[in-house]
Amino acid sequence: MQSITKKIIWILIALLGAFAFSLIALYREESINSVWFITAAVCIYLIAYRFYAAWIAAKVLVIDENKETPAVALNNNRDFIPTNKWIVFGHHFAAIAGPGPLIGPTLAAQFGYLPGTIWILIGGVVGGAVQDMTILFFSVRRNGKSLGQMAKEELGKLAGFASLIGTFVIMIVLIAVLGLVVVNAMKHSPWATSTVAATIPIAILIGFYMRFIRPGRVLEASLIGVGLLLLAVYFGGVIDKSETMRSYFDHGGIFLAWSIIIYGFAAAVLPVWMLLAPRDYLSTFVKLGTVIFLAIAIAILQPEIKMPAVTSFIDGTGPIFGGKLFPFVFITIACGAISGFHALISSGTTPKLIDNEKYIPMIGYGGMLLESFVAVMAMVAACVLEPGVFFAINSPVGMVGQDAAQAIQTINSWGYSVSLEDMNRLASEVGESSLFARTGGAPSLAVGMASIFADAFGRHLLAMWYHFAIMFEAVFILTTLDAGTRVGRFMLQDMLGNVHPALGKTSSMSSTVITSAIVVACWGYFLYIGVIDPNGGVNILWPLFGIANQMLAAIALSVGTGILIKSGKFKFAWVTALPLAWLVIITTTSAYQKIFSDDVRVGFLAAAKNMTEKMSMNLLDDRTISIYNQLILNLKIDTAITIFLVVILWIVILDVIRIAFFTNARSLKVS
Amino acid sequence: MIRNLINFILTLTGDNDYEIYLKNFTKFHKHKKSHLPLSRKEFFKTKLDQKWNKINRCC
Repeated sequence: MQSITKKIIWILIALLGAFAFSLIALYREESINSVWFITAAVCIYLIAYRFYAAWIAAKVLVIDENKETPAVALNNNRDFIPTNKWIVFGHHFAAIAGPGPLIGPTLAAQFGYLPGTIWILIGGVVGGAVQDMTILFFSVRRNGKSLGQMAKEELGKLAGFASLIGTFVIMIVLIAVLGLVVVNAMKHSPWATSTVAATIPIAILIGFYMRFIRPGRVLEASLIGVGLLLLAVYFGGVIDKSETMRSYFDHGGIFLAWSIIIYGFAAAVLPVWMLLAPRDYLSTFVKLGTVIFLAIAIAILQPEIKMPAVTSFIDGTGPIFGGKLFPFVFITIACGAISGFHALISSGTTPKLIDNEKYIPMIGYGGMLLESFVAVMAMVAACVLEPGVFFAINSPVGMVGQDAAQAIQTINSWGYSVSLEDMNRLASEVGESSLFARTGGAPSLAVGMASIFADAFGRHLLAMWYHFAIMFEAVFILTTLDAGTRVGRFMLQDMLGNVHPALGKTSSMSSTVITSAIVVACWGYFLYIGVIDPNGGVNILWPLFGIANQMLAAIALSVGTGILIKSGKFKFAWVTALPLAWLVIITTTSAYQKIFSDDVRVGFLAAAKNMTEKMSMNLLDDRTISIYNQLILNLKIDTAITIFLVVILWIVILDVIRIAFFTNARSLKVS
Repeated sequence: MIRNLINFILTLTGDNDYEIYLKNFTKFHKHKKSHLPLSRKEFFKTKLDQKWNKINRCC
């Protein structure tokens, strides 16, 4: 009887999910309710978790709950500590969920809500969650070995090197693009700038509190910190109203970029307890709170989605980034669907804490589903805006022009109605002088979130909500920036240590300063170029980040596929090989297009050629020429990085094919 | 019930880390009298340094 009830419930969930999903996919009226997005997502996650993840765990990985995990077997009270599953889940989720799943879907909304949503849901359950779970399992079975070590041992030295370099490149490009997002949110916005600036002394204060006054009291310190952050948002508004105070915080992009670069360097050489650790506690609390809050607000308010299902920009002419729907929607949304970065967490701290293998599906697969859900909510928040407003905020000046009236005209010509009065009113409502060309996704997400919150809890507070959302995004972007620079530094010290032992000492101050400066210079360069680029920088940097991240995912899935084949599970290898094949197709296609496309907004070489031609006509002023020269150099560097990533990827793929071939040939001989 | 919930939250945030460390410490070093556990302050400093010397935050 009980099993029949269960079956009926699962059939109902499946039917409801199928209904909601087909509604999203096929409905073509003026607007669609966001509740259907949430319903489709939750039903798909439940079905996938209950059936697909359970099947993989039982049949493919063959999880054994009687086998001791490394946390139990190697328990040393330091890094191997058997921990309650919910605690591990919390730590794992806090580690994998960063700003990526918020920004990617917002940018991909230029194609309409449908392509991105489908990719987040399908890619999440078939790709990302499978990757996270299998890598976690293999790492648990190998005493918590890292992805790099597993790649080296299972596939070969080159694959190990590839994962190392891939990680470094992602880190650099990710930090640059995140820095750019923060700069664009703070550009000529005294309110946003002063609030973000205030987060630094607040974090330091909390750091001192937790180090000297009440050591290790995380909860109370974080609550004090969050209270102070809210005050900072409020006083940002006060500063914004005072003419003299305003002028201290009203800065252009280049000044802000340099501030972030200097800040990034300082943060990376300071001890972790002073700035990084306390800000991370604050960001985790704020992030968790905001995501839960957003889910509740969407559930109560059930906002209408105003973005069309599919826009005309699938042909590659999109203003936010150039490139056709295929392959660029799959590159733009990495985190939220599949993110190679997660494999580093799944093979890092998490496998050393799990106290029983039976929790691997919940933590590995379930953790990714939750991140995928965050991405769905970001998509909803982007698509509740009027499309005209969405494009006005996200289109760079290179696409719509410096002048507001001209920008409005251009956006109207695309078929999206928005007026100058609408934009001015919205800007003044959120406490900004202008919302035009605030590229990078954060501001439009903040406007979307603010309008959802304001509709649910009071419209007159729109400006507060907007700047709260900006602060929220900035806080954990800065954490990623700081943590990333630090890890980049450790990796560099490790590599340089082979060349010159003194540079490899992580405790040495001079080595720390030199290597941190190198890492900061690397991302600082891309950040600076992104700021001076009239196309907004996001157009170049985000796809580059996506390609690098998907390449790392491909390496992780190669490791998974290689291990499955070697352990005699060739018939199940499609579980990882299928998403792997898809990633290889999209990364290779997008890399090829990014290099060779004739479209100047897609192809690096075409853009460089176009600028060279413009310069040869001698019509440009000196300043533009100097910018063009810098951009051309940057395009060449981008081309080199992209070629490098693709070559590495293909070497790893050929390695997997070699393993598959030899293992199969051997087993045929035996039989 | 409420006590358990508070305890769970404090474990999740990391507030209980030192108590867990102390509890396990006596288990680990029963026979070595010379070995003393770290102080609360030292423990949290070491813990943070360890936490942040590897990839710990994603995109």
